[in-house]
Amino acid sequence: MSDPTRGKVGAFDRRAWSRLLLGSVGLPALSVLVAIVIGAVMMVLMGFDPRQAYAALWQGAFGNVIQISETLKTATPLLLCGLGISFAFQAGAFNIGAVGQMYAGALAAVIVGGLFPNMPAPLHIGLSTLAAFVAGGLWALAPALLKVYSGANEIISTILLNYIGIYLVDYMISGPIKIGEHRDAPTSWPVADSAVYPKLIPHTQLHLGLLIALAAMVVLFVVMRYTTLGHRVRIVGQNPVAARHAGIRSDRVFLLAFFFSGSLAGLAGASEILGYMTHLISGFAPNTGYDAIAVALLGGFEPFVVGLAALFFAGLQTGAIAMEAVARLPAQLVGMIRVLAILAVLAASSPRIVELANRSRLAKPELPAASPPPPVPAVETPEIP
Amino acid sequence: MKARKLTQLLLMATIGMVIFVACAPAPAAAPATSAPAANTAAPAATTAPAAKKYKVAMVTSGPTNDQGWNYDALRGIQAIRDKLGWEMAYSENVPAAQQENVLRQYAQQNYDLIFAHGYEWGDALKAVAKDFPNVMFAQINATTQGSNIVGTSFKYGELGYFTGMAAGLMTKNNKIGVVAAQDAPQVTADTDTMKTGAKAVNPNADVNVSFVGSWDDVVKGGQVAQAQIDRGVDVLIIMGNAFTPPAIKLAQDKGIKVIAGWTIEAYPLAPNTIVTSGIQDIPDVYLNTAQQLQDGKLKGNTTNVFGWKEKAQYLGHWGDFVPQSVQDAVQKAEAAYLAGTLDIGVK
Repeated sequence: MSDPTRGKVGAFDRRAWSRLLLGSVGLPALSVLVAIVIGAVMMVLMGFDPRQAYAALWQGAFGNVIQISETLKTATPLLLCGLGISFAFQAGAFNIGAVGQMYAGALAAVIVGGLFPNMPAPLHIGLSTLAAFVAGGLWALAPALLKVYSGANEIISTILLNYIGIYLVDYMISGPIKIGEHRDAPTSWPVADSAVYPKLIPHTQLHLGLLIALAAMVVLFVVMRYTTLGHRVRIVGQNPVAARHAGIRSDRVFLLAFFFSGSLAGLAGASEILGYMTHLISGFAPNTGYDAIAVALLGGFEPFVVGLAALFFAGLQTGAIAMEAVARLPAQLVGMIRVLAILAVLAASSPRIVELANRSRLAKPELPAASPPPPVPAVETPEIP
Repeated sequence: MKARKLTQLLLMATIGMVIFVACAPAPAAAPATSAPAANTAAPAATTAPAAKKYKVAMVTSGPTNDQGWNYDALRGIQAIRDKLGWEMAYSENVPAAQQENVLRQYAQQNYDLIFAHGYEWGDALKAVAKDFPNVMFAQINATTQGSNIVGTSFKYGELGYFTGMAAGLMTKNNKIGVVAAQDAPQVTADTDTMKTGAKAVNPNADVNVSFVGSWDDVVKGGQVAQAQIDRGVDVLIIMGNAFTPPAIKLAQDKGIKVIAGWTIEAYPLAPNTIVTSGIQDIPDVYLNTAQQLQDGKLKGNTTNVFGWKEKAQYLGHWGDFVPQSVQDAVQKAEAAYLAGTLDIGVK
């Protein structure tokens, strides 16, 4: 949907509308249905009642205010990281480093949040969040600079920086920012009360981070659609050479896009720590940054669709807990059903991804070996109707 | 054309699913699959009021097939099921972000007792427990406080004394090395009494303690063990988690005798090397806690300490080469300690 034909959407075009409806709602819904059926078959074969399991899945994900809050809380970092990955992708880069950027953000948040205990709350919250924003951005800037100035593949360098981020956190919490009192495992000092995000609903874990994520989603949408920066990012992503000829400083735009990509992941780290964890432990979010890649892909790199994808992911995650605890499915079966649903949606939306990946690949002839998707003829991008 | 085909497909899938769900043979015992009811009349449950069917749940952040710390948690609730006839359920591999969610799921289903396996559950327990005053929460190896939260811990120091004593009796050159995990109170309590225990039977024994800094760092554990071996010790006390088995192997290759601790029975690993094992019996802690709840004796805001008296700490199988006189001497001391006539310096 990020295609240049968006100008036509305003015009009444039945074909376009039905295509949109089928493409972004119909197909994924159908594929989830198929996944549900396959999951049910698996459950029956293993001797479980699928109705009970799916009832538990729904109850766990959206059953009541508390469960909805849990799901939204889980969706928050996925959304922020997913938005960051999408933004980098629009600029033609694969940012696999959301884990490291998130860890850097969390580290900055807990340092600033733990120091200055007597600061007024709004200022302290703002400062800690800003620190995470900058830290995540700088963490992403390193591979971006390597890419721009030495041509190093950003996929590899961002993955490597994930490990550095994880080990840096492990080092910091067992030394420089270790909590004073004894704990059984390395733990950072706690975040001061003045830096903890306020709760949105009392007696739940839903916190300010969700609003930050939603704001980021809207801002990213507006930036991509209605600003020169967004326009430039897209042009650079599609064809950096053409962008340069058009007078755009591609390198600078690329660096900027990567910085903001990382800073969104940094915000995800801040949101986890300042939102409800309040101190940093080893492996506090080992998979969020990787799950967010699937969230971004699932959302077709479009901010609002990424939001839906994050909600879908988070609902499956909180619901899976209930499937295990209430319907007594073994953890392994629950995991299979969860991934099956994701896989189904991903498969249904893959033509768009192939199209996007293909476009970005064709746009970068100087890097033929670095782009994994095989060349797909233009015919392969099917139009549904 | 394509759209029509798609609609057809969708229709077929829907029908298919409806048929499937309708025909699913609704296994009546689905929720009870992990809790065979065969043991309801377990003979051990003599004090149980027959009317109530108790339910226990356990949550852990790791995999229950790790043959170690998390496996012990599973064995714990299995013991409760088998010996007390309770119904059991558990969730493994729970990520940090889902801790409150999973605790709440079990609490909502009115489980009588919910075990959280490890210190990392403290914050989530505190947040959830206050919403469910009728559910009892137990946290293993932790001291979290709450009116319906009970902590458990081992009586640190006991194992140190008796393993130290065994080491003091076994050493020939009076050099004993200790490979300990972390320089933390619950570890040093045991390393301190090791010295008293060894000196009590062998005044010339020199007990040297070195720390790995982790429970699981296999590489560092091996290095620390090697450093002790290089010092020329002839008895090693190794108290860790993941690094224990490889460190035992290292000592075995050098012909050095080993006393292992604290979670596993190490005798099968190296019968010609293991003097004995110091064992902390987690399943026993689970069983004991459930029994207390059933007897109406389990109180919140407390930390229950488990030791020799509760049979939660004890020495394991003696190695084939250990002289009977050594075994007798240690067992005599154990009996004296239990009878209250021997002070081992543990309060």
